Amino acid sequence: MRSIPRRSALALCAAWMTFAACKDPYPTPRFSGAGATSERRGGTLRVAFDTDLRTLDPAQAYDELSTAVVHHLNDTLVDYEPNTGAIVPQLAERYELSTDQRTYTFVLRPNLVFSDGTPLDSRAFVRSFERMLNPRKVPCPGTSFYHLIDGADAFAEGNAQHITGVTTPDARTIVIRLSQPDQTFLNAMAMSFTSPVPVDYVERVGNDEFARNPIGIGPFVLERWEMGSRVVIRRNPRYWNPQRPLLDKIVYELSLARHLQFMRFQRADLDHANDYALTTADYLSLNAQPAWAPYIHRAAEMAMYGVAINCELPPFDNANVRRAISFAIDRDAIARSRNYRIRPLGGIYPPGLPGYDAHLPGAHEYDPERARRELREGGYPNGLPGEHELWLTEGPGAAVYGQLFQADLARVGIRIRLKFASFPVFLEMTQRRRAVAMSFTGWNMDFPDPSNFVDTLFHSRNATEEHAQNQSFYRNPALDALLDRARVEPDRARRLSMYQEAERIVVRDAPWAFMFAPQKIEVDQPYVHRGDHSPVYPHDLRNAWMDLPLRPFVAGARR
Amino acid sequence: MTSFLLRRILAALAIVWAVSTLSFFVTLKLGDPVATILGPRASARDRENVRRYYGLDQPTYVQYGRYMARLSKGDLGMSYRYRRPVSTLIAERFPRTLLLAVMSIAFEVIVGVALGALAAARKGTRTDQTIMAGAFVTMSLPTFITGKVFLLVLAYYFGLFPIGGYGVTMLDHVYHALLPALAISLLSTAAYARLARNELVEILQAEYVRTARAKGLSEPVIVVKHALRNAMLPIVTSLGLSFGALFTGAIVTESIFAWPGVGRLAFDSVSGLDVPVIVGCVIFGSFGIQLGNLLSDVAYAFLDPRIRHG
Repeated sequence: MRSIPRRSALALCAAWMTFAACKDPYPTPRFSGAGATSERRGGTLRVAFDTDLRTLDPAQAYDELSTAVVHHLNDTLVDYEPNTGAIVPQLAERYELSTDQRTYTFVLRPNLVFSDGTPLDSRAFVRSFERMLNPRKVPCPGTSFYHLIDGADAFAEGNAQHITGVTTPDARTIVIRLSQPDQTFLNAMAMSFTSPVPVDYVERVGNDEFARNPIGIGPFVLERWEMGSRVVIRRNPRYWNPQRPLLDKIVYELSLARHLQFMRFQRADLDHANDYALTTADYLSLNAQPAWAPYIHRAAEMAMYGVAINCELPPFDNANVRRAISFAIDRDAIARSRNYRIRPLGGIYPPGLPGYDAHLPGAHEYDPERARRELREGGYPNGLPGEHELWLTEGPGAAVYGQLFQADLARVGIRIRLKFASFPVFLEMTQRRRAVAMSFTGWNMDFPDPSNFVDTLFHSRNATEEHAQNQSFYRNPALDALLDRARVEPDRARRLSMYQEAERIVVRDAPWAFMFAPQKIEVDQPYVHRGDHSPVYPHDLRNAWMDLPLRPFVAGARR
Repeated sequence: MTSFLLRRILAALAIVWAVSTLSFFVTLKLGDPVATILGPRASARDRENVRRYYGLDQPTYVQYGRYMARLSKGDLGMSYRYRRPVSTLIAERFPRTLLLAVMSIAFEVIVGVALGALAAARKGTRTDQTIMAGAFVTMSLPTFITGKVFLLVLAYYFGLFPIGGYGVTMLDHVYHALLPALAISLLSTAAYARLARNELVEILQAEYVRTARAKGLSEPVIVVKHALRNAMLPIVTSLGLSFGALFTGAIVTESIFAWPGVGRLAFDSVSGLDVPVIVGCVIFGSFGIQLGNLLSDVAYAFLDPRIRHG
């Protein structure tokens, strides 16, 4: 028998490797569940993030990943009902609001204990609350949500030993009195900053150690945190709700680059892939595989993106010019550039947010003729003279959005120069008065209330010299007055209609060119059931369960 | 030898000080660290609280003075992002980077020198040409390309290696380190192969090698036992340099392979403008390079008496 020449053997080997490398090794999921139709306990769910975990101290966590993990280790007095988004008691058994709308009374559930067995009563809660609001004890990034509490400012400035507006008539009752009514106060109390922590333990080990080895009162406890690598949390056997959680453990893989996450997910090394794991190529390949279709979940994200236009800098102090910019943008082309992972938006509020108006009068849309007319009416019949800067920073698609924006505006006679900056420089410059003409930016909600968008971004109190959240430096006394009235309005329907009126004012004056609202796209393995999840915490796995044991996946089989 | 060592150590310390001072001032100019600690959603009031808490409201010279005072005691300060001592963060990750470094250096030296020796022993043949052409091509491939190709082909398509990460047990760590170590070492392996070949080609023409051949010694014995030992001097020198460079080069590789070492820490801290960690990593990197240089100088002096007594 003739032997195959060595060169031919090498060529054959290379051809086989090339062929194998071109064929997708995972066109379908690898495993499906056992076929259970109701919730089951047990299992370890593995998820990944491309960032590193910063802290597990609820008073300090404000970034997406830290908040996601902290949310599982802690509870708050009140939380959001998954389906309706209504605020419901959590650690509090019940709560009441006084008739003057200024005093909240929370009654704790009986026999609450932290994961180490330390009991939680009203005094322990208030000690934890005061720790969070004391800037000399812990650098909490969210104290401003609570400054309407009587005596909170004096306490923060070191002029009082305790917050006068927070009292504990008995071991289970906490009374919080505000200096003026605030309809978003319960939202603020649902934020994880207020999660109680065992202060004696914190003071014994120090903030830094506590941030690494926390003790909480939530459904999970920390098992281990390998810095930069993974965090493992397991079920808290002392949790007040014996029905939850259903999972035994959650493993968070940290700092796992996006391009690796989806590879791992397809190989079933991860059980859930969130939006960040899906690069454009991954997303398209996933959509092209019918076997994955039932396991892809799409939902509106409570965020809004657009171009903030500096109303203090000419020629952008002219509302016609600002409207011309906004009406020149082809939002559908922008959505297409991201394979419709974003939805065009013509106003402030994203779909799904209370107050969202699908038929918003005067909503910004693509209308180049209107843009040219606005320029003419604004005194620029031949387009804007000169070239104007649009600041951008890192983020998915930012460069593409910038280029599309540039091309759209060129068509109506506005020349744009794109300026890219690192995130710290971008923030510093765009939040400084009279520094930047236009910036591509966005807002991600702290809580599902229109005030968190319109008040934060357009109230003149937030147009500060530096670090301004009102990045367009838009000032309108009529809008300010309306927002101040809406903040204290007790009737929900009336309040929402006031916020809709506020949106119409802002859309008319166009301090922003509103562009799009992102869609959250996630994919689970067939054996993972997410259950009802929080409308606020994007990575909520409190009700998730796994249909174990796993079986090899069969296309077309029942989930 | 003692004064030689002392001079080298003092020079190394001066370089580390200069590098740390430069990086401190450069990173301060990159933007407001509070913005990255808190993100865009925090209010102006909370930012001021955090600025005071970290002492960032102080003038730059005060911040620098405090930093240097702490540094002189070996304290690299606290990370803004992780709220933990920088020295602890680096110490936790150093063994992981060291594991990668040791595995890649072992691969570089063993495979590189072996290929170089083979090419030199078969100078002018097809084997020599193939090895040198391969080395040339490999040296032209940046790690961020080879790393991704390795991940896609060897880990994802063929399932021979894990898809990034660090693993759980010690054995698992080594298994996870194989692919990144291979990716890091490719470039240097090629460089060592070229270096070893060139040195050996020259040495193999020396008179003592001719004498060994005349005495009837076999070619492998001549190459390995007599010529290679003399060819090792420049390789040892390069080894010290590449040891230091591996720590700084780890930034790319560790990011591609999600390897949680010092390089990944440095990458994250630069994007998050975590000034104490950035400066800490720069000091660590420059210290590694200085140590590598020092070791290679010492080894060189030890191996070659002309340098020791020169």
